[in-house]
Amino acid sequence: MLTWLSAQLIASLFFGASLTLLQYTYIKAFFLSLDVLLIIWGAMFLYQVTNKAGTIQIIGKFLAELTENRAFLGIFLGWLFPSFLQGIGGFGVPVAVSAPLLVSAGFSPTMAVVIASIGHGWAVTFGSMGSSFKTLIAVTGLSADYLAPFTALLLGMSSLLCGLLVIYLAGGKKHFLKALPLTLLSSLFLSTGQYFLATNGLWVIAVTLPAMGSLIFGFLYVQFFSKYSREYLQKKKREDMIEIMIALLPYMLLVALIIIFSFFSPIKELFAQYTISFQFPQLSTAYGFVTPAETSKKINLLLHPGTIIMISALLSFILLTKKAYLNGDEIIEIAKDTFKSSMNTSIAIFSLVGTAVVMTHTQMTNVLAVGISHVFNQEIYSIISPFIGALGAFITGSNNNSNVLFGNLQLQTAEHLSLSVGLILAAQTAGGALGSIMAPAKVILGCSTVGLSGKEGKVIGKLVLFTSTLILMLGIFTYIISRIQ
Amino acid sequence: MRTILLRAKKNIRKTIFLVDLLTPILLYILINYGKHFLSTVLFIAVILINIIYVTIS
Repeated sequence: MLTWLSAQLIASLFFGASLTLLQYTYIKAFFLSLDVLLIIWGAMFLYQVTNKAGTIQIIGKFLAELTENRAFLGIFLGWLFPSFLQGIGGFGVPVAVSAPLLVSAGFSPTMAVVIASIGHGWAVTFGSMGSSFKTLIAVTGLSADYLAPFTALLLGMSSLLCGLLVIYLAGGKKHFLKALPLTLLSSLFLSTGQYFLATNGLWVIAVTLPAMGSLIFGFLYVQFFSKYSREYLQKKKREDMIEIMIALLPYMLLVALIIIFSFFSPIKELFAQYTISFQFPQLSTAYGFVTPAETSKKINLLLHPGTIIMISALLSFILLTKKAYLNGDEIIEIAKDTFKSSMNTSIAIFSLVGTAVVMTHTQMTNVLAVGISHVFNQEIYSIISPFIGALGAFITGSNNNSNVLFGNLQLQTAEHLSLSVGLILAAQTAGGALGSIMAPAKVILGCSTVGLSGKEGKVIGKLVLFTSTLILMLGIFTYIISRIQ
Repeated sequence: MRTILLRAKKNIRKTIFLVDLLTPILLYILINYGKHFLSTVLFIAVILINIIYVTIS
């Protein structure tokens, strides 16, 4: 909020912004935020329903008991399960849920937080039902079709890097080679699945579905190759397996609804008319910087991903109540928890979007972009662009906020340096995704769940080292693609 | 004093959330109906509420 207030003050004092211009930026920021907030509110609601029903704990416990090999435990509990949780919830939930499971499986608390944090890093942009990607679309005004291919490519590569680092940290050299085939196959599954879904308009489930698929694939893999897992599954009763299927039901329902709402033409046509959009006049500063008149992006409230997630959460609530996992009265408590948990995020997103809109409407972003393009050349900028995204995420605590703050700056700098805008924005959000895992806000939450409160510095130190290496590799990869183009 | 401050902090967070949710719509309506003075007053009030929020938190 302080950032937003400072931006208003600087805009009026040094960039010639009038009160009318500031009012319009406030209104524009609201409509841009609304597009993202609907998804966040829906994701939070779904998470509260599944958490209250205890289904997340059922899946986690099953995975923790499935294998005794530490590298495989790392794959399941430190990489795939947190990625899946990131797909549906995010906001620190993956680490908060997975780290205690890793501790109960025999990992040290520090290593548990480090592994779970690194494991879900690749999934942050398309996670939380794609809210960070949606933000990137909203602030840059570019289409999902344009941004998705490069973003999915860089994040696909990140999924492999995160997976390899997780099995090394979890199993050491001893188990690394044993777990390598499953890591490579899972990464292939995650990255190709993510690419296919993201480039075909299904970016809302571009993490959830591949992560769920990879978990099932991993389950079949260990059943086939591990005697321990086979014996464990033979001991499981039919009721236990039904319980696991019920635990997965909300997510299967969500995937089914998103596919129906996205591809079933009669439903699309029926709801297509219920869109809202707003007209904004031409705005100019006292120094003559003009923002042309524009119509805001259309928001279809009934076909919006946030609405679909909310419908699936409501249906899940009804089904889980019928199966006695929830009590009907708990809906009020769930609604209250959803409101409480999304309040801070909503205020933060709104104020940061407000800051970004003020900056773009008063030429501040442009001034910064010109400055950066004079300092760095094409080659160096393509390498440091993910670090800018990571810095934004580290400071603000989320990939989402980093995209809001630096999305337009990266876009304009890429234009000044004649670099591919799609590639640089992909590097921004991929860097932001990886940078968010070492953000103090997330680490503090993760540490509090494994009794490491007050010892966050040690965890952050390890995370900064590992994450910086991953981001550097991402930067080199971005540089190589920019050279090939 | 500490309890009062904590309660005020909790309440103002809710207030800010609702203000940020409702004021932009109200501002949009006021501006479109030509009530520029009212919209300016409302906007300044929003800024003041935000300053209080930042000061308390």
